[in-house]
Amino acid sequence: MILSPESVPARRGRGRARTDSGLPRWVFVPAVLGGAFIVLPLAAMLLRVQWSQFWELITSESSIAALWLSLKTSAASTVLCVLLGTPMALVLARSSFPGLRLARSLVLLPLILPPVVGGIALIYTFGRQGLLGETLGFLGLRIAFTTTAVVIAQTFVALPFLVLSLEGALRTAGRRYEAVAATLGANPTTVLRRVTVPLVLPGLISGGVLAFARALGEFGATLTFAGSLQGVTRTLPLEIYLQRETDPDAAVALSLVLVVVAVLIVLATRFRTSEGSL
Amino acid sequence: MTARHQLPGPEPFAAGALALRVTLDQRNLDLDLQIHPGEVVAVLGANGAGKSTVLSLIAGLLRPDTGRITLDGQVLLDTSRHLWTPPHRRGVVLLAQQALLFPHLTAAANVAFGPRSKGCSRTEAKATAARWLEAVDASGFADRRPDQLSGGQAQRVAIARALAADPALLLLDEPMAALDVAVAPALRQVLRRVLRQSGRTALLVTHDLLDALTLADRVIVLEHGRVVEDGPARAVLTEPRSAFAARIAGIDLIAGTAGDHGLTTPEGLRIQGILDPACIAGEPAVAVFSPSAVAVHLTEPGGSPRNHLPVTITELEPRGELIRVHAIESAGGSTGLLADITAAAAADLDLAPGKRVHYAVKATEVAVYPART
Repeated sequence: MILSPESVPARRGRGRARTDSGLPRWVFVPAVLGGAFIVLPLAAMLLRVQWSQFWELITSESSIAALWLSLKTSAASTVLCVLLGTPMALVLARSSFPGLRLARSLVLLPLILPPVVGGIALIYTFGRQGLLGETLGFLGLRIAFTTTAVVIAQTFVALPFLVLSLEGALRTAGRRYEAVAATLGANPTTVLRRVTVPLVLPGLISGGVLAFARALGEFGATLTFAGSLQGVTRTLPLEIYLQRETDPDAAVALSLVLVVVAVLIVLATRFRTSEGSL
Repeated sequence: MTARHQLPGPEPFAAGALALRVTLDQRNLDLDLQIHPGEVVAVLGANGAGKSTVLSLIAGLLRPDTGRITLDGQVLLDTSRHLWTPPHRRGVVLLAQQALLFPHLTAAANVAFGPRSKGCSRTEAKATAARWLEAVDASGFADRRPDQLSGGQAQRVAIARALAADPALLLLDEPMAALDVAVAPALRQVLRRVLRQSGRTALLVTHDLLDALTLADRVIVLEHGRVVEDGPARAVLTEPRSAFAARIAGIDLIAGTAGDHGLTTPEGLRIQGILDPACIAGEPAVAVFSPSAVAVHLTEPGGSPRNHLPVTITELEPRGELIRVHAIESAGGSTGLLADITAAAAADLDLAPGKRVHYAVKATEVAVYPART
């Protein structure tokens, strides 16, 4: 039962009036277990960090190269996601055509597909003997096993995050402001630029952050499609996987770096969304 | 009005000739409607009668099954020729119940949106916005964001924004309905002023009698998506022929010119009442009171009621426990004057059509509003 603040006894004194959750108490047991399931492995990893060598481990030549490559490629694929994903989200949220539902399902496919499968699909598209690869080859463009391939793999897996997040924001914002803008004499491009995009900017930013995070963590598709060449295609997750066999301490240290980045991203999106809903 | 309220924009305004003939089966709509330039037309009707749908069709937010809409000769829509003008090229602005100010722009930037969209320079648009904000008494909050405005303030800014876009036809969808009762009169006054002074053509959807009375020249009543009444505001509201108009109308209304404590009819009869602050002495006004506030006397009464109207009964209409007396003013002025009395009182007084009686109304029961014409 939900108690209104007035009906809560004033015994709590100066504290904020709290309302009863209305949940049966036993629900808290599995909830806490689930929370522990997420936090415990992170804590276990933290316990294994060799703090004395930490700085040394994450600033080794291969680590710096991997970190720098990861940031560069993730930033590039985030830009690509915004450029391609924004129009996709607009079309999905605002237009209606036969097959729209099918189109939406297809857009979400990379989200569900195992990344390795995505990587294989990309090889047969952009690889030397792929669908587009031969044409690209004639133009002197070789994509597989280059940094470009890393960006393509990351964009492929990250795009649905941006589209989903932005489409949701567009649906929540509704079309009422756009209708008002149109009757005030604004043409569709002006409406998009001055009303739609500013209104969904928080959604676009959180979608971009999510896409960046997904790109940063990309492993399977990158390894399959781009390989693992230091400084060219070996991103941080690949470096961690490689170090795990030869130098577990370095792997743990680099993992911590990714955890810190992930935490920062989560905080950033939380901050953004709460600001946007104000 | 003072010079402060001199309105921007071209004068006299002669745009806004609308001709509409549409059907929309899904909403059971079959309409034929003409609006003349400079006219303010109120659309009344029950919920679901199709009032807001008409506005959406004119604004281009909804397409009819069949029909043709023209505005000042420009074809907005013609289904037989597959013509369709998108909303931004129609010269029609819709002002809704909610102000719907763009939340990311200041009040001034909201008002400047229309002029900017039409290609005005930044400075030009800014100047237009400032003029219109002033016209609706909203200059004080030009730099505020919509979330820092009250409902009434936001709606003022929305009115300024609508007019700054310089529409040939202004569509108003219950613009006062979402506001506090305390705020609505001031906004109605602002709307009256800007509509009157700019000579703007407007179509006003409302369920408020006062809106129709004080803002509109003409009233249209919709029932089930069809026009069932169309005529001068006063005639429709005092002598309603449709069930809906009769239900919301059923008021006593006497036209004249405003004076210090009430109004004077063209026949020289003085009606005392409480003056709306917007009334100006010598200007057209209407006195409004409820039929239940009327006492019927056989002879000229003394006592405190300030208003005595000699009338001739035209009809006695039983309404449950009550009898509604219909009468015309004996001097030949106002018609359709109503009085609600008990059946017992009607029997005691031996009332019958053709009988001459006196209506007595306390001045405190009479409200005097400025009228359109």
